[in-house]
Amino acid sequence: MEDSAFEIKDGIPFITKPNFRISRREFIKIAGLVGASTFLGLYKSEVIKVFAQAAKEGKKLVWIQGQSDSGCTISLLQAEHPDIYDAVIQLGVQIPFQQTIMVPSGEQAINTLETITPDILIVEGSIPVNGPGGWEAHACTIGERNGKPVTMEEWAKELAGKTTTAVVAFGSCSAFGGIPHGKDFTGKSPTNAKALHEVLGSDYRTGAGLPVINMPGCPGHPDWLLIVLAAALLGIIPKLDDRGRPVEFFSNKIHDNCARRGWYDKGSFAKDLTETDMIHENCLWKMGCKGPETLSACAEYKWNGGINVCMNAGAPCIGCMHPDFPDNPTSPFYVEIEKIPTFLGIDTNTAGKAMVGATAVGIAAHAVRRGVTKHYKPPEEE
Amino acid sequence: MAKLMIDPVTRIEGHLGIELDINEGKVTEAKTHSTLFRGFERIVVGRDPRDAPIILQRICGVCHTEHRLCSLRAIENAAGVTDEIPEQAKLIRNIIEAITFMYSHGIHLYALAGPDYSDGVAKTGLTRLNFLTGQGYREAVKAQRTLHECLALLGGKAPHFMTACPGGVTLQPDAALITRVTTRVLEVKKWAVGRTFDPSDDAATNVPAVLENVLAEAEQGSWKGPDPELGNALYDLISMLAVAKLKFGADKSGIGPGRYVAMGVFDKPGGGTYMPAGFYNGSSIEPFDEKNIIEDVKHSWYTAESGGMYVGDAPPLEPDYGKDVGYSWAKAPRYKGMSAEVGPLARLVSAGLDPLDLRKTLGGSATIGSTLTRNLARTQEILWLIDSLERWLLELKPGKKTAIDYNVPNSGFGVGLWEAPRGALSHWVEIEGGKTKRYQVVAPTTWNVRPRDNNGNAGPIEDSLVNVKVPSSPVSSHFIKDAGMDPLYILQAVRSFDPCLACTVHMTAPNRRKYSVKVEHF
Repeated sequence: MEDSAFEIKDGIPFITKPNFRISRREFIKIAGLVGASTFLGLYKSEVIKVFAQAAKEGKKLVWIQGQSDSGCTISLLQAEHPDIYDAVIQLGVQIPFQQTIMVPSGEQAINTLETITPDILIVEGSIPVNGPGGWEAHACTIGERNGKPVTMEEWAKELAGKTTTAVVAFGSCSAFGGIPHGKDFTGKSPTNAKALHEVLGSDYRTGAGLPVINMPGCPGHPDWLLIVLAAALLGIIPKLDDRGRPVEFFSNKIHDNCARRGWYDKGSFAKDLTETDMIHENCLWKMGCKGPETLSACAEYKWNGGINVCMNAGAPCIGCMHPDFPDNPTSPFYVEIEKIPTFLGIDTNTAGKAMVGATAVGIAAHAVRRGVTKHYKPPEEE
Repeated sequence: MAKLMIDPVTRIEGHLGIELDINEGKVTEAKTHSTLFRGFERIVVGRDPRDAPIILQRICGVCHTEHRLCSLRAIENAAGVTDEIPEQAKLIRNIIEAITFMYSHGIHLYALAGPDYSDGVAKTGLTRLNFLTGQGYREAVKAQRTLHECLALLGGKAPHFMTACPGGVTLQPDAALITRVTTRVLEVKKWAVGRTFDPSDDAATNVPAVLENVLAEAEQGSWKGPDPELGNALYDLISMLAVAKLKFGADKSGIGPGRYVAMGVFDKPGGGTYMPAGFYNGSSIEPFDEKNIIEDVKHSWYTAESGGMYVGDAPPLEPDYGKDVGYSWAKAPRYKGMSAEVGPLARLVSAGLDPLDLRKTLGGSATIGSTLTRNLARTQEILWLIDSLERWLLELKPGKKTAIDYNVPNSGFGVGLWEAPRGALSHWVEIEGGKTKRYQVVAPTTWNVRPRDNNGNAGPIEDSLVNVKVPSSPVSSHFIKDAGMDPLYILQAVRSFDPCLACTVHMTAPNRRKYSVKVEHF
């Protein structure tokens, strides 16, 4: 029965039947989900109309990979709220191009890229552009046109140029350059790798007038992506910070909401990697944790359906969502941040004595935040 | 004679193009091209050696645990602490690795290789394998998510788990955590093979029954669907393999060189690995020695000085873009001067394993490499993994020590040998002044996707494509009208290797192909 929702034409699944009988319950699930996010909260009444419209129109999504490791693709498969299947069926998104999972290859695949008008474009991986060597743009090519390999740079510009609704740079490589942008021993990226927004230019806007939405992470967080996509499909523009990140997910330091925060406040620090498990009740700062440097809602949302996050498993944050990942200040990863951050104005060496006031503030802030961000409310029954 | 260029090859990890010569409906020659370069080995040089596992882990987001673990082995070896890593840490690393193998094999068989045998692509009647909408596909996506939850519980998050660290792992699982992981593995085992969580309840128990059902259904041409008591994944994978053999002749297609390299994976207490290292030379298994690995560069875009010696001693690569005979940016690793295949089949052959004689009976031989036997070995390995994983989970005891304090050596040389789901993986590191001075990686797919070596011998994937049928009328939705060719069998053969191009070309330079033909008749 679920097979009947699609028909494979030329190897591409097309939605043939309006099998999106979105029950009221399903709708509330989705609307409740997106509506609970603060940037969506105000738009609840419009959501119904636009959502139904988006489903009817069969919105098209193109996911293209530059210099990536496909980790963000695998990350997408971990989405649970909703999962990828629900997103496709319930939000009505068609995915005619996604290299890792799509059916067609070769010319068929390239034809799709050439003829499609994406509503949503997701870019995974950084984009090399020509630099001193004169060859760097060819460090990543996809298919051929007129007998010549087509560079990722060309595809990115071409596809972004015709995207109607939203362009998302998913993952740190696409959002900020990531590891391929990292400095080698000569002090530069081996392939002159760039972030998507650098390639498109700061004036770039989609048909709907949106700039590139940056969603860093190594990998990117799949639930956040689907929430942002849902919002975009519903015609809601997420509020972005000055680096193009949705403020909903990138306005607090990981450290602020870390489960180990109380141990930081008490001045209890792991001294080596044998003392990092939660049973030792230590903060990981001195093990190089970059939580105090990194803006992200990791600690609140956690990962893989909200079951865990790096620090809770004893692993110091490596700042994978930081714009400068993997360079300074995120690396060396196991070395504590040189300069004590001023966000609290407290010296960790004396933290245990001076922290009483700050602890109270921290706990209060935490409580408030918990109160306003019930992101994954279970669906209400009718 | 005609030329056919398939670029991009999709449903693999990464960027790959294949150039083929086709004559009288068969491939006569194949060349593989990689189209991505990121320069990982350059990026780790000059940094703290402890950063290498974290950066190099990100060579691949599909096999997202292996490079980290292999790199840790190399830097632990360089510091001389390999034997001091606590047994509990090795156990946790084994468990994380086994779960990754299971997820990776599952996602490959269902989502990457599977659609080529589905009703949607090739009118086989196997609707459960249909892209995205098939019930089996959906169940597999859910199962891999459950396995990723296990990785997140033990690793912080997944992909790119975070807990394996120099000297061990950062967490000490308690009883509750072990239970949460175990419950999820049980759930997947029940779905996959219809059995309970119990090491004495062999994961392969239901294989004969499912095989019998599937062969009967294949003969009648009507697919009844799985019996959950016998295992849904068993049904899907065996029906896919049956279709591969009976409808597509996959046991006679995609024939590789018949030589295999495995480097060993899953640590045993006290040393050695459960899946052994070995070299199968075409007739017998020899002990593996990494000193026998050399990389040729005659047909790769590098200066002659860059290759031709034991990889651990090789100097950094010097690109040479204009070389006449070059056609690939992958190097050509050889073992004792020969090409060799890596992957689940290579591991099982090197271990002398053919569970239930499936490769012998269905594939014609336990040691032949074909489109069928590669996917068959992957399925057999899943069964082996489930049983091993259960045993290791039961060995896990709460609260034990899981790490030693790792100190970066001032200087040292280290080798890490391991296996990714896609095959043998090796890392070499040289440390000087407390920093990484040199780093080399030979990734699994490099072995399989390599170009010709200095003697003009083709790589395993290139080899395997020769004689693969290219029908002139449609057998699948892959049919290319303009060319009058259906590349289904070619794609099935390439995907049977489960190529991972991000791994292969982590260090290579850009593709600067000169030819300009997509489909050309002459």
